[in-house]
Amino acid sequence: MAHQNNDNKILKLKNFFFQWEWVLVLLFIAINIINASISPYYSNISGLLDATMTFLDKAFIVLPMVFVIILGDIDVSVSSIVALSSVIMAVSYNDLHLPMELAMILCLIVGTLCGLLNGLLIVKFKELSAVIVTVSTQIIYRGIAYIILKDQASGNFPQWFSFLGWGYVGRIPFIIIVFAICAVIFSLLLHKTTFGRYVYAMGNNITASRFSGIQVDKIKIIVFTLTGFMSGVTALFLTSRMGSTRPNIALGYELDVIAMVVLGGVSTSGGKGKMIGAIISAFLIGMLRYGLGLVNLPSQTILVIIGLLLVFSVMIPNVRLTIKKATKQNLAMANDKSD
Amino acid sequence: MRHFLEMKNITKQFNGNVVLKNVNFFADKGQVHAIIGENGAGKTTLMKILAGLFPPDSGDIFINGQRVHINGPKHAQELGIAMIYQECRLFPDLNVTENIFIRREPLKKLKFIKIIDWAKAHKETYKYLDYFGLNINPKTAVSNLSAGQQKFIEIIKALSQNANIIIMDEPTVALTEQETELLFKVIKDLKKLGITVIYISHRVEEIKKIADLVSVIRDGELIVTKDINTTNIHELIKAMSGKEVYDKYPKLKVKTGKNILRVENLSYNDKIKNINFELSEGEILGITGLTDSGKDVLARVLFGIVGPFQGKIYINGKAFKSMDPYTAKINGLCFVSAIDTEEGLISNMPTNVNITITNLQRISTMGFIDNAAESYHARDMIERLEIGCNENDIISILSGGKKKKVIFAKWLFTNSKIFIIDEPSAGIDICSKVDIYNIINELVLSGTAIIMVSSNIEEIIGMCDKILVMYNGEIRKVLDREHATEQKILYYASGGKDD
Amino acid sequence: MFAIERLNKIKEILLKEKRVDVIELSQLFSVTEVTIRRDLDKLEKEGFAIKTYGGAVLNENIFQQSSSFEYEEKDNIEENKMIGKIAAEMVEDNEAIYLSPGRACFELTRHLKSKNLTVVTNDLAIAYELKNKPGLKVIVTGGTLIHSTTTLVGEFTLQTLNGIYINKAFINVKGVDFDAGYTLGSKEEIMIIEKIREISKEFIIMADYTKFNRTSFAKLGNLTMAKKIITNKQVPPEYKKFFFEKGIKLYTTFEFK
Repeated sequence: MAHQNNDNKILKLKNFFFQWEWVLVLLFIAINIINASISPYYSNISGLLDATMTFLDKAFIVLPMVFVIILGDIDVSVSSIVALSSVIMAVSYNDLHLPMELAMILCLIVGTLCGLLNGLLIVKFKELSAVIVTVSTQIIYRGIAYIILKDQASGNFPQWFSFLGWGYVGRIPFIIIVFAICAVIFSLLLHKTTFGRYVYAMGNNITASRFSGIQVDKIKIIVFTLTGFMSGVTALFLTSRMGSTRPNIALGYELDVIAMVVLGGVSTSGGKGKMIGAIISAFLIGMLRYGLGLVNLPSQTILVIIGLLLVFSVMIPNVRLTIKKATKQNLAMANDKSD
Repeated sequence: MRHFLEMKNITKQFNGNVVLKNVNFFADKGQVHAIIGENGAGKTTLMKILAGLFPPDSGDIFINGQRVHINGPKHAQELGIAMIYQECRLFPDLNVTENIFIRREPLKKLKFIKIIDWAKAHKETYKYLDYFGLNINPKTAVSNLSAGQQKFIEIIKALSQNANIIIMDEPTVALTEQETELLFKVIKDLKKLGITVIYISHRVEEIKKIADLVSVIRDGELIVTKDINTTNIHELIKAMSGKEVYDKYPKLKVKTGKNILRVENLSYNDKIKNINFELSEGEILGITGLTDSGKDVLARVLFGIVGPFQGKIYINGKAFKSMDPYTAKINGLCFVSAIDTEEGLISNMPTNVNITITNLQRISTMGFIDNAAESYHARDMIERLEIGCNENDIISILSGGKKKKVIFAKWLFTNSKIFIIDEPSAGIDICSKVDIYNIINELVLSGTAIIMVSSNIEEIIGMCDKILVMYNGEIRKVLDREHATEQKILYYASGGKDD
Repeated sequence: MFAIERLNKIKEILLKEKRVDVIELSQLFSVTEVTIRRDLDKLEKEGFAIKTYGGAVLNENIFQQSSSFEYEEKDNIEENKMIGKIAAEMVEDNEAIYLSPGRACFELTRHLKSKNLTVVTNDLAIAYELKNKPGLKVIVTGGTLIHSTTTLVGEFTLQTLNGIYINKAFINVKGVDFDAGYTLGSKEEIMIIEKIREISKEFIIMADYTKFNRTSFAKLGNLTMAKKIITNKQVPPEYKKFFFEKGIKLYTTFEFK
């Protein structure tokens, strides 16, 4: 019995270390070492913290996107939601002369409503997949942003607004603090609450979830609405960093976000993955981009590298599965013999 | 006298189970020979042997007096044998003509190249359609045709391949009444052409209309072959059921309490029509019928899986005009799924998660799951139901019996008051079966009401207080436990009516 | 978890451990200590427990009060209680039943709900237990008392059984085994049961799961002699299979509430 317990402990330890997240951590460290070795500006702490500010805005969307992808769905309209809520905020401040605080709240509301609409459409038209629905709304939301602002920029925000994107609390950038809080909340939501449990259940087997009396439609709507809301949050920080907004703001963000989530070990077939993986991979891709930028690599090349990383990450779980199967078979054979 | 088709002493085993025992079967040209028998009696296996899907272990097949060794479906086709399966085997996106002439399209020479002569093919197709009086455009995609029309296309396809023996496996299953009539007309036309039709069916009623000869297969043996004019439905059903039902089910008759569920004029999409019944606490209601009788749909309408429905469902006196699984659950209903479906369990998640998923509120505070409470309850359920697994075991490694018990556990965890149990014992070992029946006993003892949906007639008679026999979406007959026999149920389930 | 479940769980623990601790219980059920104390108050009112500092102990008196007789298989009280409960459900109004000596039959008497019953028994404990049940006719056979038990046997017993007719006979057995069949403790008891078998319409065997794969002194008959048998869920699987395949109704107890 004691022997078995021991075995279990070893197994648990093994399981703990044989996780995708550790691969990500190693990769992350490797990238930082490489970055540090090629650029002398890289290796001080404040430089590193500043670097995170360049990509953390989109990391906000990574958090709810993990839920979306665990559900087995996808939301490609997030970048357009960022654009639309950002543009509406700018217009309501500059043209409608609303107080900035109100404009910011409006920004979040618009994001939330866009997400809600996505959710409702996906639930209502079950024959359409989430990708089709969000591709359509992606075009619609950005289209509206263009209609509102034409092809111009809108800025002139009050001075204090730039604090969101550029400000520090002590020596730590404000955005990092907000992100850390959000990351904790979303991690708890996914891994500790009934809501997170329902999301995993639905991602693994939607039929059985329905037959268990889970309100699958409601959960789905909430997840997409959350995604909309967090896109609104991204709009706030991004607009603050940029100082002004344009209808083409955040173009292509959805691909970065999805890449971060998938590289984070969240399976696109649903039901699997951890929040921490996605968060690490958000930093990983962010740092990689930053580092490659430091050595003046053209952005197209950076895209290729990130693409390769993605392919690699999608491939790895399959390889792992094969290895697992093989070891299992060996174990089974060994057991047979010992019997 | 030699028959056109003869199958002699056919025996077939699968993994040591004898499926066919020395079966002798024959048929003549221009004759419709029906084969009837219960699910798993061996009728489809016999015909699959004829269609070349697998060889017999022993026995001979003669066609036109000549001994043949059918060594594959293609060979069977060359011998003029065609089988039309229950499920459609056409390409849905191709049109009628393309389907009929697939891989043997008529070609015409155009200078240097050969191209498909579609005009000729359409003309040929049209000829067939015309012969049978079918109003179908040869250029329509098959996916736009009704199930009945697709059947006709398959028949024509067989004919165009020069088939002279056509086997139809339950052809009327998905057909409307008009289509069934039309199919019978087509079969009569086939007879005129001298084609041998072998007609497999559960539905004794329709055999009377169409067959010349009827053979009854039971437990792998051909019991009797009769001329349709010298037999009657009761005799056939008696031959089909044959064996005495062992009274081995641990039925516990408890005093029923107050009415808990009432269904009024329930209809859904023509799949169930005008269903009325009542259910009391402590009562076990059986719903049985053939595969497409609507019993499965009825269960799913009650639990809100499919809808919307017409009519009303009353739970504890409260009227519902629509239903969804969540509402059903919080009003005390539950659905114990069959284990061979995706419906019951999340197979790649552990047992404890599957047990608690129906009532996470019970193990959480403010939305946060208490893992200790979850383990405690899961272990408790596993022990109470004698499931014999670890709470962390992934569902997919469990045996059928254990899976079924986990499904029971997850609904016991919500304290459901009405259990809809889909195929209680299908696919599980005998020990688990005995356990399941006794779990059902324990449930009715505590005042739970049970709806047992099953195609296992023995079990229905053995465990239920009242039995609804369904046919074609309707309740054909309500039988008491005292009056139910396997023969009666088979009679009504295959479309029989009270005289 | 609902309050009722918690109460029942506490009862179970009390029965097993004889004492409970407030702090342990509050951790086990994730509720406050106040809640647990309230639960214990309830149990004290029911007469089930006696509160102590920091917990409660089982009120052993309730068991002693109910019967001054003892059975040897006291270890399986819970199992036999459940068997008795199932058996009681089989008894219908206006029937004459026979209860053989043994714990399961004893427990059966507590669950009897049917009206206008006649109970025949050769067990003094069962007769005593039924003394206050209204609407019941209890017939105790005469006979010789087997030493240090409550069982009556012998020629007098057999004579009493002459000329009466019984609808359902519930028989406690001491051993159930493929080879030895159903077995009981003494030849005298076998004689009584054989007589009962002659005069009864239905013959129902009761044995808790510990009796399986066990043999007692005297053989009553083969496993196929009864058409119904009541036992617990823990019964060895090969028996479940055997009875089902032989067309014998095997009732097993599960406990949900």
